[in-house]
Amino acid sequence: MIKIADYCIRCGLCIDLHPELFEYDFEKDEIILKPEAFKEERLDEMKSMAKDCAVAAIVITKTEGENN
Amino acid sequence: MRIKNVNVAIFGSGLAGLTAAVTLLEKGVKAVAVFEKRPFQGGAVSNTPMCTMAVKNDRKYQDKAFKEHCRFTSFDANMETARAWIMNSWRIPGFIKRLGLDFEMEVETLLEEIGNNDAYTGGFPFGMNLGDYYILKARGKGHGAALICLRAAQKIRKLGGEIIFNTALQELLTDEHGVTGAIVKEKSGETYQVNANDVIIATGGLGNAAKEMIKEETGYINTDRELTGGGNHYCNSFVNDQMTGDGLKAAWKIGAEKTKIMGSGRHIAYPGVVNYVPWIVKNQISTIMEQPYLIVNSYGERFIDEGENRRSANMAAAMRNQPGRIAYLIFDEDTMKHLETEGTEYFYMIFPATIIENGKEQFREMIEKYGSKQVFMEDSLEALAKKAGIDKTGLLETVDRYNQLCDNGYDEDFGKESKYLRPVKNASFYCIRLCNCTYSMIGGINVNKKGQVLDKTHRPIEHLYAAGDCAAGCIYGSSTPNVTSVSSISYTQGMICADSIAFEQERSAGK
Repeated sequence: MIKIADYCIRCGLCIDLHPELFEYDFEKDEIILKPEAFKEERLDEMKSMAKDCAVAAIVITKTEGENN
Repeated sequence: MRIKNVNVAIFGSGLAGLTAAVTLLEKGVKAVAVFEKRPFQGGAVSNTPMCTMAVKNDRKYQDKAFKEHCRFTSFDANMETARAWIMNSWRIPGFIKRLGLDFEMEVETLLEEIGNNDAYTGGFPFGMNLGDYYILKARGKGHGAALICLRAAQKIRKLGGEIIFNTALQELLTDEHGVTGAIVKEKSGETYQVNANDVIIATGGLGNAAKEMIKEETGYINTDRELTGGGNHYCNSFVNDQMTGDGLKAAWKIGAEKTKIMGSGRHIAYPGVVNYVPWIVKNQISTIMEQPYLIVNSYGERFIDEGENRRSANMAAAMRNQPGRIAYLIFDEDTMKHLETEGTEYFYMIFPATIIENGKEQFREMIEKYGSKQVFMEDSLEALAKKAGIDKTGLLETVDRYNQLCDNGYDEDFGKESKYLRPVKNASFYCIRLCNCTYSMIGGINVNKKGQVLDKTHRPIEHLYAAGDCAAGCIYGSSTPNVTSVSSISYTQGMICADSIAFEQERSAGK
């Protein structure tokens, strides 16, 4: 499961590095994941971005039945 | 109306507000609540300083730093407040370490270097180099200050404090004894009353969302990273900043003295070159932008020793006095080759390129791929002037004169070091339009050495304190920059407000 924690500081780093995976929802005032972010083949990029996030707000957790 | 009772109400969860809250709770003060307009912790600082500055806890260093600050500001600021900052800033490293964080690097400023040497990060006027620099350890590609804000928020909760998100300061409440609380507004639009024994305003400076207020207070026309509607200033602290001066307006409404608001911390290649996060650059254009080559205003005239281009606060101040408050860096193909082979004259630590790789292609990419209207490359100076919007006659005259100075090896007009005199003769000709940039516009509220907000007669408004960008301007006066030392002020002012409140509350409780 991939989610963005509520303590995300909305700095936009993830959008700068991976605009195909992240975008800003100005109405909700939060960074959201694009559908592409949930694809298996993007998991390595998501993991790399999770490591780069200033406050570890990109949370990737295993759910039952997942291999990664 | 719904009522919430707290002991200390802090508005804003940037460095100043969070530092004040942590310090109060560490001192045993109860019922501390931080109200934050947005749904997360952290102010402009979350996306900004990689380092902060602290003056050693040593009288020799503190006195020298204070003297230099007075000299730098020409005494056109609140000196007692500046002194309080300098005398207390040594507490910052310990504060950060108590949050469980550490530094990547510590850079000592020797006594003789105070005020007469470049700060480690470069880019600041000599007069701002007052103390040691602490480079924060960041996580991943992020900024260390973001982590400080997160850890501070966690500590506040652990120590029994509250952080209430989506709640903005609307107005302050007063009686004959001073401030008694505030009316706050939730994101839903609902308002409620907060009763508090003491209030700290730490709502930050003005950001892109305060476009009209910035124009009125500073004369700058703020724009966004896409340069929507033009403009000559840009704030790069948040993707969607909502720094609309809530604290300033509330304080002014109850009689707080209004002080100068300004912020010309850095100049940048015009928006469109930078991303959301200013240190994640598309290419090396930001490095080229900082080189000391020919710089002109929109009339095509030189206005500064371009060697100052590395001290961006100086450059930004000079640009503020030019028509339209913008400037243009211009160089030719020979200089581009020099950048590609021998390398840059200097670099800022955030954009540490020394050799420019295929510069022409980078310019082409900016223009063709990113559609930049701030970066230009032409085969003639006439065409360059036309594209960039520089007065053609003025530019040609200036280039002619500048090339003579280069040939002579002496800059009679501005005294630039001869090693930086590179003529503009051979096509292609390159140009980068520059504008001023800050994390936020700072100032607006005057505070004394205890952090108390002063009224128009310079008397403290009882039970009202302010810290951070909304109050830091009174320390710099007219020379207001907005760079690393402002984070130093935010931490310190937060601590000072907390010290004062804890002391006064203890005293009135008869302890």
